[in-house]
Amino acid sequence: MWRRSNSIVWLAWLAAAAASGQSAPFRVDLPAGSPVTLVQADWDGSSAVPRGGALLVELHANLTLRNVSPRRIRGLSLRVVAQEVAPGGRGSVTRPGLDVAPGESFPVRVDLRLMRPLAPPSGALVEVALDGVLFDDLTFYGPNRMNVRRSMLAWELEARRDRQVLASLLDSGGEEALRARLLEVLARSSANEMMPVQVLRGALPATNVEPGRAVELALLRLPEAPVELLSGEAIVAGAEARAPKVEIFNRGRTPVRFVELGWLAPDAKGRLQPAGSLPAEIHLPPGERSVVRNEARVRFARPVEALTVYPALVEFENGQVWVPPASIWRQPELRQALPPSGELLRLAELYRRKGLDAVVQQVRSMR
Amino acid sequence: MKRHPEAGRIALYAGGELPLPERLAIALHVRRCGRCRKEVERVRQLRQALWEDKHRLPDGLDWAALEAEMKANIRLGIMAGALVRRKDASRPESWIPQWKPAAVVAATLAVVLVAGRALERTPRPAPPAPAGAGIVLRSTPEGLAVDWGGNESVVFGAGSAPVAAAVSWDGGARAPFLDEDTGQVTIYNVAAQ
Repeated sequence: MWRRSNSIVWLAWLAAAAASGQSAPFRVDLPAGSPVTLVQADWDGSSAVPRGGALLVELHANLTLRNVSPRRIRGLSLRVVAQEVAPGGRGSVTRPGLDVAPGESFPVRVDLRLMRPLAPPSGALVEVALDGVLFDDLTFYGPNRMNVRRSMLAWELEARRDRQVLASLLDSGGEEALRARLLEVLARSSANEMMPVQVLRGALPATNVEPGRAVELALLRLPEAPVELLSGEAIVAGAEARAPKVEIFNRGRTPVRFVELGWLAPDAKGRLQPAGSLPAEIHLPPGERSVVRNEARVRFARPVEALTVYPALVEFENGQVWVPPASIWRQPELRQALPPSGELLRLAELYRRKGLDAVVQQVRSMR
Repeated sequence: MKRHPEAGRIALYAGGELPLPERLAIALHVRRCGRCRKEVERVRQLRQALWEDKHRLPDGLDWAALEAEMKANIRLGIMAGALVRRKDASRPESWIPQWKPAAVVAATLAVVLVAGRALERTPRPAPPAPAGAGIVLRSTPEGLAVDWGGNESVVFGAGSAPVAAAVSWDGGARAPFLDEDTGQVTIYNVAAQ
């Protein structure tokens, strides 16, 4: 019986392989009951070419999805998996700032190049699966395997905050003030300033390690933040910083379960630039303090003398998320240092392509 | 397959270590059977946790004791080798062809070759990045390149540079891109492991 069953399976597999001819190396997986359905998947330009002992996978996907839920979709995240356990083997592609009504279709584009082992796969080379959908009432659907829920929620809150700021600017300073702000964002994004940063993990090498010195971190205290940074230090040796330690205090009324600290470092001209983030899963009840530590090392492009830290995101035990309020943009050095949000980038691009009227219309309609 | 596979078969299946026909038979069963699917998922999670723990050294490791033990093992090996050579030298040389040992060696080689081919067909995940490997972000005309341990592993966003990028101290990276055609923002996020 077992032998017969095996033979049938073997023949079925051969037939399937012959029929498919390895023509479907990419797959989209949407779970049953998903709020979006796949209308079309275009893999033109995608390829998989052997290189040495590995496979170089070029993935260019144009997916068209439809909102089949009764609510408006504000964000969507897809999980892209080539290999579960290898570095770079999985990632996510998120489209924030959506406004998709029930029944409407929308495009999602995925462009990636990655390496995976040459060994023949048992399934698809690359699988694209739904990881999360954020609705306009801030409810979330999805397996959340890449922990995208909190990021998507934070991006949506930042988008609402920034649209509110632009609307206030429009009310108080008129269209010229709005135009000036959008031009500022365009200038920032075209300058494409990105500080090269290298993160080193694992144990320190036994030799050739500069001892370094403990440097006190500059702490940005945001009055509205639910957590306060009390003190912080890191070991700095030349262009390398390691073993950061930041003491935080929960001054709110809700327990905190996750904190992301943003890092700023001066560039060659002395201007502060984003220099990575330090995420930490913690359990911090109201009125208590805790120390966030990490054993990784971060290497900058040039020697650093000072580092600045600020609370960039806080997630509470009840699932709610806090992001820095609009007042953070009133501090001149932070306004220069922090990258514009995805929504600001989108609206600035809309201004560049379609003019100020299109931005004014969106800012007012999505208020 | 109507009956549930044995636990050992499930474990081998989860690790991709079964011959193809049996693997497919169990795959068909697992697709229909929620209980076995859960078991496969549990074993895979366990394997992943073991991978992650593989490069961690236990706390309080006594390097001196470990070094002494390794040296003792090496000395033991050298002494055993010397004894075997002395024993062989004391034997009279025989001109009778010793076909039995040769046959055993040939059979062993054949088994190793067959097993090697079979194992080659089994997809295995690449090992995780070695401890201390660096994660480097580079903005290139092709997009944002992320290197792990000196090897370029991922390039985000074909044909355009990111408008910003951030590395995380836990080893991940995140970068927003503007789509030139639609004007929409897409955020790419990659996990270190």
